[in-house]
Formats: sequence, C-alpha cells, structure tokens
Amino acid sequence: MALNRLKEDLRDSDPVDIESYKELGRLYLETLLKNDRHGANNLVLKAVERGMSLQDIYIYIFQESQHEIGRLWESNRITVAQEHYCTAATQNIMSQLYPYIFSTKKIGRLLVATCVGGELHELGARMVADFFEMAGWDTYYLGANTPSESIIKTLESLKADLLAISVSMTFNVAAVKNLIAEIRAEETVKDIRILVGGRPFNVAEDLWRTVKADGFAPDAKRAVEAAEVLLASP
Amino acid sequence: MEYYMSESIKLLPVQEKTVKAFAAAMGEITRKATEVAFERSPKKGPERINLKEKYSKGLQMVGHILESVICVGEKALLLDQLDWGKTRLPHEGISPEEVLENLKIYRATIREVLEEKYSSEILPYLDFLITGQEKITRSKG
Repeated sequence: MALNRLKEDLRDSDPVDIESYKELGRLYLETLLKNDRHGANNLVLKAVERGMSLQDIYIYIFQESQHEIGRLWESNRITVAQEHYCTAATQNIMSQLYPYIFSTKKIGRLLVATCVGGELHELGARMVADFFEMAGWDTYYLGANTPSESIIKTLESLKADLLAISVSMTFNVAAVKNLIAEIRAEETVKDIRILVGGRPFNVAEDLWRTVKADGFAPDAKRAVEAAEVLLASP
Repeated sequence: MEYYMSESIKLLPVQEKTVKAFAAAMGEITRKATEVAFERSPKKGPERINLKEKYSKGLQMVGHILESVICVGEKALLLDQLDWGKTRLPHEGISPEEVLENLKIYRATIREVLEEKYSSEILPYLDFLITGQEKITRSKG
C-alpha cells in the first residue's frame, strides 16, 4: 500500500520531492477524516523534524487538504460537521508551528490581514499572515467577519505597510469593494497598499482591479511575492 | 424567449442607486419568489417537507450573490456559482430544473417589485444565470 510505504518513509527518511509532499497531504486529510487529529498533528510535527519547510507544509498539507475538504463537501462525501472538524483541527495544528514561524528574523514591515464583515472563512487570511511572518514581516491578523470601521482604525493605529483582504464567498465581494472605497476616502490610511485574494479573485482574473485593490495573489506564497513587488514600486 | 442572452454579452456594473434599491427590496423579493416557487413546485407529500425553507435559503443566496456581482459586473462569478450549484444542490434535493424554474420566478419577481429604471439594470444578470442554468439542464438530459 502506498500509504503504508509513505508512513515507513516518514519514519525512516526525509520527504524528498513534491510527489511525496502531496502524498503526505493526502495522508494528513485521510487521518483527519478518521477523526484522528492527534495522528494528523504527529504527521506534521514529524515532517517538520525531518526538515520539510514550513511553507511546503502550508501549501502541500494545509492548503491542499482544505481545498479537498471543500470539494468533498460540495459533492456530499463529507458533512458540514466533518468539514468544520477538519478545519478546526488544522487551525490547532498550525498553532503548534508558531514557535517556528514567529522565530524568523524581522525585516521591519507590517501586514494587517483580515476578512471583511460577513466573511466567516478565515483560514485563507490566517495562512497569508503566517506566510508573511515566515518572510520576516510582523503581522496583525484580524480574522473573520471584521467590520470595516475596525479595520480602518487598526490601519490608522498601526501604520501598516500592507493590508491583505481575503474573501471566500462571492456574496462578500461587494463588501471588499466597499471596504477599499472607505479606506481610499480616509485621509490617514488612503495610501496603504492593498492586496486581495480568495476564490472570487481566482475565478475572475480582473476582479482585483474592479474593486480597486493594488494587487492580487492566488495563494499565500504568491501574496508575499506580490507584496515585495508592490512595495518596491513607487 | 425574451430573456435568454448570449454568454458573450458584457455585463456592466450597475449604478449605486440600483444596488441600494435592490438591497432594500431583497427581503420582499425573496419572500414573494419563495411563495410562488413553493406554490408552483410539482413536488408532493414528503418531498414538500422543508421545501419552503430550502427555497427561501436558496433564493436569499441568489439575492446576496446578485447584490455583490452587480457591483462588479463579473460574469465569471456567476458561472462559478452555477457550477457550484450543479455539484452541490442535487445533494440538497434540488434538481437543476428546479433551480432553473426558481431563477425564472426570481426574475419575474424583480420585475414586479423594482421600478423599471432599476430592474432593467439587474435583469441582464438574471438572464445570464438563466441561460447558464438552461445549459446545465440540457447537458444533464
């Protein structure tokens, strides 16, 4: 069995290539779907010990498994409760990695990452914030369902370099557009660079321009790359 | 059929006052459309249990999606929603034909409730959804 072989590999050697990472992602999800979050946690911690980078863990284990969980729910192969269990377990497991993530050398940049009011899917924004931490940024993660007024006050008080807005549900796109308009109308924060991301922006390639963001990234890794380009430009 | 349209037609973001008028009337539109959809449904007996609630939730979602999409004029978002519905809604006991019928009812209700100056901006989005859903029902057959 491929999975048994993988388990052996994880005991005996480092994961060495993308395929083994993807296989590890599948094993992680399979373990969670057996309600074994401790097993899933051990898989991740073992992968860290074996030298798998945190970025790869996020992409090939957390991100891929979350996408697959969405697909499984959509096709009725798992319940909402299972979806929530897996997501909550992944959030807990991500927290276990924070001693590694927050130990990176800082570069003097500050990101605020948030979801708009009404948006309850927060894992994407959290992953983005964690990727920026890994890249040496300080981050201020606001989480799900944050009112525009609070976001603007946060930007004012922190003097952030960048705002990242994540949205999963199409019906929250108008809220992103409205938030950006409110920020642009506020003298103290109007010049902040704004990155957007999430499913609607992946589906409609020019949507980020329509909502008047400064840029878009299809995933957390490329959000960091996009931020570097944005902040380097005048 | 007057409301069917080509997928190549560009949808433009509507005026802000149209978004506001639609948002203000959304509750009424959903209520009326739900009543009509429930009355017209050919489902019988146990199939009607919770049907009204399901239709109401579905039509509420249509309203919220429309409210967002008319602000940005992005057809791709509507296609994504149709695709999602194609996969998900049969598992909720809602067939593609029911989705199509209820979209048509929603369209008629918008015409009934909103002033023409507002509805004329929003209806092309419904027509696009109806055309897309028509394709889904045909491909299923």
